[in-house]
Amino acid sequence: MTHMPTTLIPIIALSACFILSGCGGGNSQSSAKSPVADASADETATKKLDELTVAENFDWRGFAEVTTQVQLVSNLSYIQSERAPLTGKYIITVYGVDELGAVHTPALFRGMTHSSASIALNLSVPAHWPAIEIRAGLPGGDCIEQIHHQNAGDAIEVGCDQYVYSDSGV
Amino acid sequence: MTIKYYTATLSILCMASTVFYSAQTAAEATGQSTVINEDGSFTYIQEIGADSTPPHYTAPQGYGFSIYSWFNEDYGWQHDFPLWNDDEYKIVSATLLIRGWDVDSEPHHGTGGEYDGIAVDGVDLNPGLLQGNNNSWSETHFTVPIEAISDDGLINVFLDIDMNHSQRTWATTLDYSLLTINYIRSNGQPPFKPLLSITPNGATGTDDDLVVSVVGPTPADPDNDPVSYSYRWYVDVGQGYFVDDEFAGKADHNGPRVPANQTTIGETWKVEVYPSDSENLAGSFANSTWYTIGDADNDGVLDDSDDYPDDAERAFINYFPANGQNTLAFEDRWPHKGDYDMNDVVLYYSYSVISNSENAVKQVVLDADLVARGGDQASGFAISLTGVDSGDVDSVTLTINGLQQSISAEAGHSGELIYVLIDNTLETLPGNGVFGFYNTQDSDERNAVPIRLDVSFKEAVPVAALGLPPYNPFIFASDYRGREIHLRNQPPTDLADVRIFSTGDDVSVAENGHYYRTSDNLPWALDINGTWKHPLERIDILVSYPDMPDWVESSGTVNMNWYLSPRAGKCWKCR
Repeated sequence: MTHMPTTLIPIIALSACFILSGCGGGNSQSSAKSPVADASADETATKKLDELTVAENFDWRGFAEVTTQVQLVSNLSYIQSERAPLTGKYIITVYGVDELGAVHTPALFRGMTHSSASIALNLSVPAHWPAIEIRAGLPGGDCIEQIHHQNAGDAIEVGCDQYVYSDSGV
Repeated sequence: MTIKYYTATLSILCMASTVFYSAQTAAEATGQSTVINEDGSFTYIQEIGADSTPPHYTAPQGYGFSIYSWFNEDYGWQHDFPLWNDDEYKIVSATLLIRGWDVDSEPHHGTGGEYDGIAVDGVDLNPGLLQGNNNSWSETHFTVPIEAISDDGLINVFLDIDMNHSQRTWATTLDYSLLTINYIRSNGQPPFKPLLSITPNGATGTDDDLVVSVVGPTPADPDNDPVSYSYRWYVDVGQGYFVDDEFAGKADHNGPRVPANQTTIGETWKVEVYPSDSENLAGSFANSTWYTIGDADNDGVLDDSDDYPDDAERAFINYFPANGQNTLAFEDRWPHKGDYDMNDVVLYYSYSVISNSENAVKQVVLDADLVARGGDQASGFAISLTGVDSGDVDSVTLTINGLQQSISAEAGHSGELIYVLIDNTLETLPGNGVFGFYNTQDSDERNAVPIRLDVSFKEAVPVAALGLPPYNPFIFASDYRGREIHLRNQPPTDLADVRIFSTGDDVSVAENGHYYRTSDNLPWALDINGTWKHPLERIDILVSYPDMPDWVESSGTVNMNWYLSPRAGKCWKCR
């Protein structure tokens, strides 16, 4: 009976892991490592992820969620000192705007307002785009409003150069 | 204002051979009379105005007849017809005339005009609003349904002022409401309500004449009297309500056809057809409405704006991300920290969210590419959709690698819909003789496995209920379904083993909505813009992405594009 030297046993086992199944993987508790991982030591990395200081409310997603109510209003007519709301159903399109002010296509969202010329907007915006542009398609041309999504709040008014007539004074 | 009415009434009385009832008492309408016409028919007229008293009219405080009244000052009144249940008399016609001042319902206002609706016994009449002009008196004639009289003799009228606004915008003053009923003494029966057929019966274009035909019933009259028909046409030119065609600037059509040259894209046309037999007895009228011109599925979104012009349940398709794909990357050791190479399960994904004209979601399509498996444990991948359950699903299909799979919602959940797309990543992304993992080791560049989940709902679901993509994706241990791993602060499903929470490195607190996070706020999963090149096996994500630490520690205010700057040789395909 021959005996294998005891120091060879882990070496053979480790090789089998690499070749057959890669038994290390994402398991930090595993003893095995991929060949790439063996070469992974990076002198320039000063921290590992679990060494970071992370704010309690930090959103790890790369998106900002915008939830707001959009109302089309007149830039030309006022009711009780407020910009008069428009009525009617209009196509609404929302685009992302980058830090240089460039508007990106395709659109983030397209839908239609209710008859009150308002729409509940609920969309995700890539966090590296600080603003959104809302376009409302009116027969006389688009109404356009850009707003930083961090400032969107609960309501956004999109102004349109359209008169709203009334008996209450314009 | 009543002077004019009494002038009109006097004219009727002069033409009549006999006045057999006329009264104006404290407990009645302002004016009421019945005359016998020269042809033997009768005309019953009843006026209600500011001077009328209960039960006809109770003046509200500060508004009502003869008072300028606004959107929140709606009011009603009641006409009656004493002979409503006398079988000796039969109605020939019944109309309601309402005289008002400053009714600003000109079509040029679009949806922003003054639209004052009139309902009788709770049913909206046509035209759908008072027709009139700015700073002038106008009279709007409504045809009163016979059944609104014959049911109890009471015609309860309600005025809904400025229906389109919820603040003081438009106001009007009503002078009076005048009910006129022509009737005859007859043993005959009125004709039946006509059965109509219209062409086009469906998608309507600007080249189509609008034609209505009476196709029944047979016989048309219970007495077999000959029956003739008259027509009243209405059009909604973008006001949101039907008005008489002539009020909208069209010709006054009174036959069974409106030629195509009278119509315009975006308009909706309607016709009322009134039957009258040889005795002039009036039957109940019928109406038909055409599809909006240029809106083939009649869903309210014109074809040139409709992503699904022939599907009334679908109007818009939105994509998330708007362009390309995003990445989901999981660590699989929860509740213990992993090695943070974030590659145990990696998917690229995009969603197509298809909504109806009300912006509610009718269909969700997930297109994913299962890219990498860096874990040595078998994981499943699933998606949770909230606000719906299996009873809300119209159809669902799952395709993996081009092959359709059997799929149904996972049992054991309430208030959400769970679809398990992958049962076992070791089987879907197997190792081979060279690489034990799948696409997490240098030079391992095998094909991703495409997955498509397509779910349609019976009724479209509001976005507020369903949420936003990527919804709630998660992985779970194939050998222990209860061990789920979600994006940070995404809730577990009903099948999650809650006993695992707050064990190991996890500090989830369900009461606070805190899930899948460590005490130092680290996640077990990331949702990243674009098709991210995940770290190679056992390389910490910060080694692969040196811009990430500043992004994290600045709470996302700097290096927002950290994922676009990998370190060569430290992530998959980063050369």
